[in-house]
Formats: sequence, structure tokens, C-alpha cells
Amino acid sequence: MLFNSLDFVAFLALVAGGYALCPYAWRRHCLLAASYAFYCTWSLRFAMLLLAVSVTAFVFGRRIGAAATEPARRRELTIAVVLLLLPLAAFKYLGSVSGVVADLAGGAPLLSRFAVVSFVGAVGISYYTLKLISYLVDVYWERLEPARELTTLATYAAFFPQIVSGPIQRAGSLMSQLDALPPVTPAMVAGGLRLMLFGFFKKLVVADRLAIPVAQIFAHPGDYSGLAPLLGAYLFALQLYADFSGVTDIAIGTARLFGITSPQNFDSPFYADTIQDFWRRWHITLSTWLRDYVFTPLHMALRNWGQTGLIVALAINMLAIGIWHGPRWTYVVFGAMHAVYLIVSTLIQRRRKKLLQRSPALRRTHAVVGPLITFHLVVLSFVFFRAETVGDAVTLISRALVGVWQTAAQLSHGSLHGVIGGHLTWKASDVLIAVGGVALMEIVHALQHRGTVLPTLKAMPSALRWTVYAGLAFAILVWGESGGQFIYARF
Amino acid sequence: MTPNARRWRRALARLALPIAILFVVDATFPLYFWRIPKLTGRAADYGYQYLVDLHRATQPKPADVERVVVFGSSVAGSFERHQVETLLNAGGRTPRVEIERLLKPGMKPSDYALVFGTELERMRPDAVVAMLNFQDFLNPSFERELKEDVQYVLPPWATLRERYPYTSTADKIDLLLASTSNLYRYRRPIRSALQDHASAGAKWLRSRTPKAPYGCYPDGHTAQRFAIPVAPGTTVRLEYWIDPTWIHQRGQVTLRFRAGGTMLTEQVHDTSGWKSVELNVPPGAGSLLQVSADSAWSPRAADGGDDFRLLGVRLRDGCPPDGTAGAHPFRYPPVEQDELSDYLRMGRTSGAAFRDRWQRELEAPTDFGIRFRSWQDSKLRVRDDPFVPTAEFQALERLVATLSERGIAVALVNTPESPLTGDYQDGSYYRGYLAFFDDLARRYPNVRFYNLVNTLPPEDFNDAIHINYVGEIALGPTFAGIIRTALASRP
Repeated sequence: MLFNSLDFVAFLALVAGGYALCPYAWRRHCLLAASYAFYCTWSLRFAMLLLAVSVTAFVFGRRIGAAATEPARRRELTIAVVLLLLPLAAFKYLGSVSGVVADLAGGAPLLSRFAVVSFVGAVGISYYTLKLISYLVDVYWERLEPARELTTLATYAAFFPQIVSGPIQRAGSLMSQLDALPPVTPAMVAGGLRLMLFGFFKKLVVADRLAIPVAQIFAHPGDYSGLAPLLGAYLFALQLYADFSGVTDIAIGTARLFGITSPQNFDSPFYADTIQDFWRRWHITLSTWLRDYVFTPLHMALRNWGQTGLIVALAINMLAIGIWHGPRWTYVVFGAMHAVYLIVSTLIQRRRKKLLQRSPALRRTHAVVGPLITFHLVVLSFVFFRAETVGDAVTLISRALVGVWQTAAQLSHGSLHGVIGGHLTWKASDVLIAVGGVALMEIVHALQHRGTVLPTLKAMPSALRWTVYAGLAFAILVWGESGGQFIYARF
Repeated sequence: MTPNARRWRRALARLALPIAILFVVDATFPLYFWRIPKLTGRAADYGYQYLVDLHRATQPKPADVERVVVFGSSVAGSFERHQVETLLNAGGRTPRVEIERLLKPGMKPSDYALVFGTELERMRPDAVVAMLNFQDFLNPSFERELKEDVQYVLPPWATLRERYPYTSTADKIDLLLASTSNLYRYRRPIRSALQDHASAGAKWLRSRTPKAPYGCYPDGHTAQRFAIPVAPGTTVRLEYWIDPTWIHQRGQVTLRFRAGGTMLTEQVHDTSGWKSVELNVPPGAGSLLQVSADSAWSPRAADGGDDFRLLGVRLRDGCPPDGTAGAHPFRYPPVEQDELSDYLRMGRTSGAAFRDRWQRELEAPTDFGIRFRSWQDSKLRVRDDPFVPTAEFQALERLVATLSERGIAVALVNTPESPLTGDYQDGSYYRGYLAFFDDLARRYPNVRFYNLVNTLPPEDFNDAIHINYVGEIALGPTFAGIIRTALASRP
């Protein structure tokens, strides 16, 4: 069941209604049942897997908590993490690895086919595995008490608003809310519905509309010239942002309908002035997860290596981010590019700060140029993220560079002919709606960044406020494209 | 009552007014939406055009009018409504004949059975013309398919009831919502209307007043709309030729004369020959006399020659040297609602050049080529099979039986096909197909079957089954004859 489907809207209405009528003592069970019902619409088999890993985490959480010695606790943690990672490795990565091995050996990648087919049903495995590992590590670090009831941990792992595309909420934050479910207030519900409305707008009106030219350009990058490849790269960055932040808004908004508060996943990432800043604003719950559970422990372990240790920790961390997306070389290159960006940025960080401290003019320039450079570096890496193969990405980038050169030459002769080289089935109305949609999205994001969305809405006369809501709903109804899966639901 | 319950009560009370406004806007939708003119041609957005036509067909029928409803899939495009209506009403026929054409690509007889099942009482047709094509019946699972593109134009509640076992949950919810909310049901026409008006606004800004003559060819013939220079504040005598072919093809011609924004006169002709009109061009009315005809004629449709133009009158004094320099102004709402599309897929070719182009298009690895070949293959596949009437044939028979029972004349028309793709016609399946309709015509009163399959040359087709504007005009008199016979045959 996709978030952007009528099935989901009907399902949510039923569950929210049932939850409101449910006696308080049964509400967590109601959420658990709804989460598993939601998951079963994808795959009953993988719902069993989800239950199995939840039980495993519950049992090992108790065992870690009960273990008397540090070596015993560490042993329990290691076994548990390996057990949790096994299904992820089997269903997400093993297929490709065996495929590569079989291809090298000249045989048929049977296992590869099995695993790839199977993974289609294992929705959210990357998300719930990370959630459960963070739970176990937090118990091991004694930041968290082991869960007393299986239902709490199982609901945490399977919580249906978050299972498809995150956010990856930490156990301490979500389980405490599940243990003592907060009352559902009208303000929470209104806030949730507002976020969902905005999320659907971003997905259906903006992202799915941008997806039309992006899909065309990335499907045959060699067929496009002029500014088309460059346009494809920019548009994909916007599409990915609208799509991913849209599904996150829907997830956070849905959780609010049940009184649950979720962490933010985005904070105007395209205005980041450095790559470090970008990762503080993009997919925040994944980057902080990796920072806390991969980078920091690694950095601590390698602290005797000095700067080399930092570089190694950064490289491993960013490669992990790339590979988390899936077993493809394009994701490895994406991770590697960000590793290089971060390492260079970290190495020059001190000098940059010193330089900026010297001159206010430089600081002002950096405030403008920094985000521009960061944005373009990110766009460049997103080309690899989106392309089918590394070769396709290289083709698109090289054609974009040649295209810019050619277009500049052409414009110098006063001709606009062939500026967008290649056939794009994008109507003028689509362009207008996409531009308007992105502008509206960025205005709201700017208000969200300043924390002034709610005050701005409250300051409006109620007629105007309702007109805004009705306008958004109307835009979704009339201009919403239908049928596109969320990009991050694949991971 | 708890504080939270009080908050909920207050919040729900605040929702009452927006919900009431939404309800009023939704319930009164038919009162305002159908008054908005459709600004684009008939071939632009078939779904919107279908709904506009259906709305018109279900308006109360005046006492002195005989209503004819023509329906079919895309092949109904061979019926040029405006032309046939003018031909039938030429010379002031009473009662007047009103023709409504329902065309939707991909719509099958079983879909139309649903439409007539719910709308027949409101339509009250005197005659019905079913435009059929062999291709419409070649998918045995048709009645179980509900194409998204067709679903939204069908009567939702009747569709839900009849197709319930074959529809997905999402489609069931969609149909349920469509049957309860006009805004939801008609979201696509709303989108088209908004976009068309935005685009019309841009056109209006560009071409409010024509600056140069337009639509006047060097040989003295004009297009359906043309403008020639005049001196403001003078009396102009204009002499023009109404071609006999025009009267044959259209029955009657109406010409409207304007200068600037001022309507000068209107002339109606139902005979051919030289005509003249004296026009007092007021001072300040601009320096162009603008003339628009309600139809055009095609020399190619009359003589099979190579003149593919759509023509209006011929001016005795000829055209100015820059007679095609300008563009006709935008008018709101459009004056000529039934302007023909002059689209020719094979270009302005004929004879061997046409066949070469045809073969190239047929073999091309394009969407069109693939579709074209699949049509041909599907016909050849069943060529020698015994004919078995599938559910689509049965649905059509039920519809014919209902219409016949009510004393409505029915004409079943097997629409033309290109002679270049007729290889299947001597097979047993096709013979059975024709025999089925012959049998229907024999068994039910007021039902006639017309086989027009081989009536047009290859050059009158855009592809295997869709005829171009030349073919449309050529067939007009035949359809007028069919309708005359149908209306005369009623009890």
C-alpha cells in the first residue's frame, strides 16, 4: 500500500477512527495491529520476518540488560547485531554479490534472481534494521532500559508511518511515547493534517511532475544535448528533495494523528554552506544514526591515528551511507564522492574559518558562494545516485559540460535554437506548475527553517488560512500526478 | 467533560463552516462548470470533450427537435457532428435534427452500455448511431478492464456496482468518491479548463487585434477565417464565390463579417454561386475586415486531388499580396467551436509517396509503429478462428435490444478501414463478425447495419482505422443519409 494511494487514505481514516474509539489501555495494541496490517498489504511473508527480528531484538535486549559482565554484554550485542544484519544482507545485498560472483564464474546468477525478487517484498528492511540496532546499542551503552514488553518494541520497529521511508526514529524517543501514549489533541491532529497536505503536495504536484523529464533524460542520457542534461541533473535534485521530504512530511503528519512526535529529517539542505552543513540538514535521521553508531565509535577507536583516523572514519561512514541505499556501484560512487567532499572540507575547515574571520566581505561572499558550491557538488553526486549505471552518469555529466559550452557559444550568436537538445514530453503547463510548486515549497521550507509556519498561519485571517488549505488540496486534486512510488521506499 | 474533549468540540465546531462551503461548491458544480466554454479543439483532451458532449446530450430536449446520439471509441472521429447536422438541417428542415457525438478512445460497447443504462432517460434520443470497428472487439477480457483514462468518464456508481468484482480496492474507493463528490469526479476537466484558460489568456495578450491580413491565399481562395484590408468609415462591397462542393459537403454555410470588435453582418447561404455583400465599416473599427465561416470545405475530399487545404470562399477581387502574413485573433469564447483539425500523419502525400511513408511509419520503432503493428497482428491472429461472440458483443446486443424496445432507431456502422490493412477480411472470424451485426439488424426492429469498411482510399486515413479530416468530410453525406433513413424508419 503506497502512501500516495486512496487505499492508504482509507486505511488511515479507519485506523485513526478506530484508535480514537479504542480504550486507552489497548491503543498500543491497536497501533501494532494497524502497523502489521499495513505491512501485510506488501507481504505476509516479510511481515513474519519483521516479527522474527523484533522478537530477536527483544530477547537480546533483555539478555544484554541481564548480562553481568562487559564481555558477556558485548558478546550478546555482537550476536544480536549479526542476527539483525543477516536478513538485510540476504535480501538486499546477497543477490547482487552472488550475481557478480556468478557472472565472474560465467554461470547463471540464480541466487541473485532469488534475492532480487525476494527483496521486492522486504519493504522497509533498511529502516527497521537500523532502528532495532540502535535500540540494542543504546541498551548496551545503558542509555536505555531493555523493553519490558514485546508489543512496545514490535510497535517501535513496525510503526507504519515510518516503516516505508523513515524517519529513523531512535528507540529512546519513540518507545517512551509508545509506553505512555500521549493524548491526541486537536492541535496535534491539525498539525499532522497540515504536514500531510504539504507532503502530498510536494510528492504529487512537484516531485511526480519533475519526474517526467528526469525519467526521460536519465533513461537515455546520450540522446540529449544542449542544456537538457544539465536541466535533468538540477531537476532530479529538486525531485528527490520534494519526493523524500514529501514522504517524510506524510510520515510525521500521520504519526501526529496518533499523538506521536517524530524527528525532522530535513532542514533546507540546499542552503547549506558546506558539505558538513549539508549532512546536518539532509536525511538527518540516517546521518545522525551513522554518526552516532558508526563514525563516532570508529573515530574513537582510531583516535591514536590522528588525522588519518578521522579520514578513515569519514570515508567508512560516507561509504556506508552510499551502500545503505543498495548494492549498486552508482551508490558506492555517490558515497565515495561525499567521502571525498567531507574529507577535503574537514581538512581545510580550520584555514577556511581563519580566512573568513579576517574579512567581513569574505564572510558575505561565502554566505552566497558557499551554498552555491555545496549545491552543485551535491547535484553532481545525485547524478550518480539517479543514473542506472556509472557509465550513464559519466555520459550525462560529459554531455552537460559540452552542452553548457555549446549553448554559451550559440547564445553569443543570438540563437536559442536547440538550447534544449532532445525530445522532452513536458508541456508548458507542466513547467509552470513545477516552477510554481517548487517556489511554494521553498517558501514553506524557509518558514519551517525559521520555525514560523504555524505563527504565520495563525496570524492569517481564518478565511485566508482556509483558502490556503483549500488551494493546496485543490492543487493536489487537480494537478496531482498519480502512481509514482516514493524514491526512498525502494531502500 | 475533559479539557481535551472540550478542545475537540470547539475544533469540530470551527470545521462546520468550511465543510458547509465545500459542500455548496461541490453540490452546485453542474450549475457553473458546464457554462465554462471548452477552449481547445475536439481532439484536445478527449475525456473533457466527452464529458462536455455528454452534458449537452443530457439536457432537456426541445419539443421541435429530433435528437441523434452517435457513440464510439476513437473511430467515432470519422463522424463530423457539425457537418452532418448542417447537412440534415439545410433548407430549414422541421423538426430540426440535433446531433450529439460521444467519443472516447478506448471506450468499449460495454462501457457505453453503462452510460446509456444511466443516462438514457435524460438523453431521450430518437436515433442512435453506434460507430464500431473490428479492433474494438479483439480483446476478450475487455469487459473486465477498467482503464484509468476511461474510468473517470463513466457513471461512477453504476460502474462500481457492475464492475465491483473486477476492480481494485483503490479503484473502488475512487469510484465511491467520484459518486459522492463532483469536484473529485470532474478533477481532470477542471484541470483542463484552468490550463486552457491560462493558455488562452496568454494568447489573448499576444493577439488581441490582428495587424496584418490572414487566411487569404494567392489564388483568391480563403481559409475558414480570413481578414483583408479595408478603409475605416467607408462602404465596402465584397463579392465572393460559394463553391458547389462546399454546399454538397455542408448543406449550408454561415459567414460572419466583423471589423475591429464590431459585428457587421451575418450571411447564410444554402446555394452555391457568386454572392455579394455591402458593408459599412464604421470609423475607428480598424483597418481589417475579418470574416469567419462556420465550416470549411475540402477540395481533396471531393475530387481526390492533391489540394489538401480546408477552404472558405473565393474572392472575386483576389487576395492582397501579404494575404497570409498575419494570424487570426483570439476570441473568447471561440466562435468556431467545430473547426476541423487539419492533421495528416502521412503528410500531404498521395499515391506511391503515401504508401512509402505508410510502410516507413508501420515499420518504425516508435510508439505509433508498435501500436500499428500490434493492431494488425491482433486481427491476423484470429483471422481463421471460428467467430465466438465475446462479452463485448453480448453487451452491445443488450444495448441494441434496450434501444430497439424503446422505439429508438439504431444504426450500427462498421467504420472504414484502410485498404492497406484489410488482409484479414476474407477470414472466417471477420465473416462471423459481420454476420453478427447483420443478424442483430434482422432480429431487432428499427435496427440497421451499414458496412462502410471499404469506402475510402488509403490517403483518407491517419493510420489503419482513424480517418483524417479529408475522409471525415467525404463521409459526411453518407452519415446524413444513414440518419435520415433511421429517423424515417421509426414507428
